[in-house]
Amino acid sequence: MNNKFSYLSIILDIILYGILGALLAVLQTTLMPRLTVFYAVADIIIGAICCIGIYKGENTAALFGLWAGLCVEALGSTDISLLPLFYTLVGYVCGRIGFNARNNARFAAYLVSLPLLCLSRTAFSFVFHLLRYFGSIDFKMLFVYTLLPEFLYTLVICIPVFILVKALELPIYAIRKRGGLY
Amino acid sequence: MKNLFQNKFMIVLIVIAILLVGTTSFISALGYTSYVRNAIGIVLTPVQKGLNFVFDGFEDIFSSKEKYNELKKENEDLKQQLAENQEALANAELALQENETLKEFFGIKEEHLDCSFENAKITGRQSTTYTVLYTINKGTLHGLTPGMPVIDKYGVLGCISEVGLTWAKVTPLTEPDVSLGAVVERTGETGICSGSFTASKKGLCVLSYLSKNTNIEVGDRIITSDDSAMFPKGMLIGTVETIETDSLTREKIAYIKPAADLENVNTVMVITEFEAAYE
Repeated sequence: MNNKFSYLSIILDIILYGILGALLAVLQTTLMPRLTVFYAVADIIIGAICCIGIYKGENTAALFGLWAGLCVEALGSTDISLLPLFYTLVGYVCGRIGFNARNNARFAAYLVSLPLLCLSRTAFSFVFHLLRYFGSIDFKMLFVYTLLPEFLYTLVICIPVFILVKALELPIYAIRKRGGLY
Repeated sequence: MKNLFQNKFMIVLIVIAILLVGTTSFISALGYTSYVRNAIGIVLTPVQKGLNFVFDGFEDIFSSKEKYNELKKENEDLKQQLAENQEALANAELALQENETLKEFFGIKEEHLDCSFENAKITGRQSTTYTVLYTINKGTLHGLTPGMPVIDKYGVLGCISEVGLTWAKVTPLTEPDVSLGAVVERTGETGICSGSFTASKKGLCVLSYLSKNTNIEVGDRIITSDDSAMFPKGMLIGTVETIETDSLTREKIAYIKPAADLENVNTVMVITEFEAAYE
């Protein structure tokens, strides 16, 4: 009986986070490019991965990261496909560190880990720029108008992302409660 | 790190991720799309398209005010430009008209080499119940004095009745104040051309003091006479419109339609000097 509930719970998680990942990827490729600051586009996926990592653990977060990364790359196609790997590692790290936090300190853990996350996203962007535009990069422009705004913009936007992810999880909790999965 | 290698799920996941990164990048480099990417794209692209449509709508709403302001400014600029162009066009038309007038005046000047002319523009037209007067934009500063003859491109207009520093009043020859020696061009008969109250209302002037046996006819051209002290000789006054006999003196009176365009005159010439004048 327990195994059955456990499998159902996993399937439910996969459906929920599968939809969430796809939805956030669509938002990332449709809404965010319209809300640029200088040349920077904020990353909302990274906040969602961290949130899931803190609440659901590293496995779910890493899987979610892989899926969301694939979705983003499928919609906003680039010839260098590094995002799925990056998001998978982010999910793992966030889950490993944040999941151990107590229930009432998880949002605080999220806030503490945000700057590091944004820094890693900025570092990833830097590497990506180096790989893609090597030889033609104006570093001043890259740092001042792209990487710094991206860091700050992602930092700010990840707070509402946390609320969004938690809000989207509400229906699944309701289903679980009704099905006696809790 | 130790935990990572103990977590078989994570190891599998990372291997999958690395494989996906490798294969997708390789396939993309060859110009193709991987199956995974293709499948996700097929499912999510319509959603992306729909959301783009929605966001485009929002963007239109938010940017409509800005666009409205831009269009308003553009409209104002275009109106301003149009007004300037219309003004330029009007000026060009005026210049053309002036050019035509001056060409005709130049012909008159060539005909009357003994005369000195001063071009002037009509700046006002006072038409009251009693009198008609024109104001021109030249005065004593330009050498004008009262009594000087004024012509337009067609013929005699009148003479200066009052002069200011930069302006002068011109009384047309239809007014009773003006009288000048005139000749019937065809016959050489002389008379006095002057204005009268009744004739001036019809825009005509009167040729009187004709001989009793005159054979003046309707349509005869009347020009200024040789012995006129006011006007140089041979200037066209007008043409005979009607001929009547005075009931008291039994003399013939001819009503002259002035050659000058009294209604629409804009540019005139003041004859400041001529051979017969002031001798």
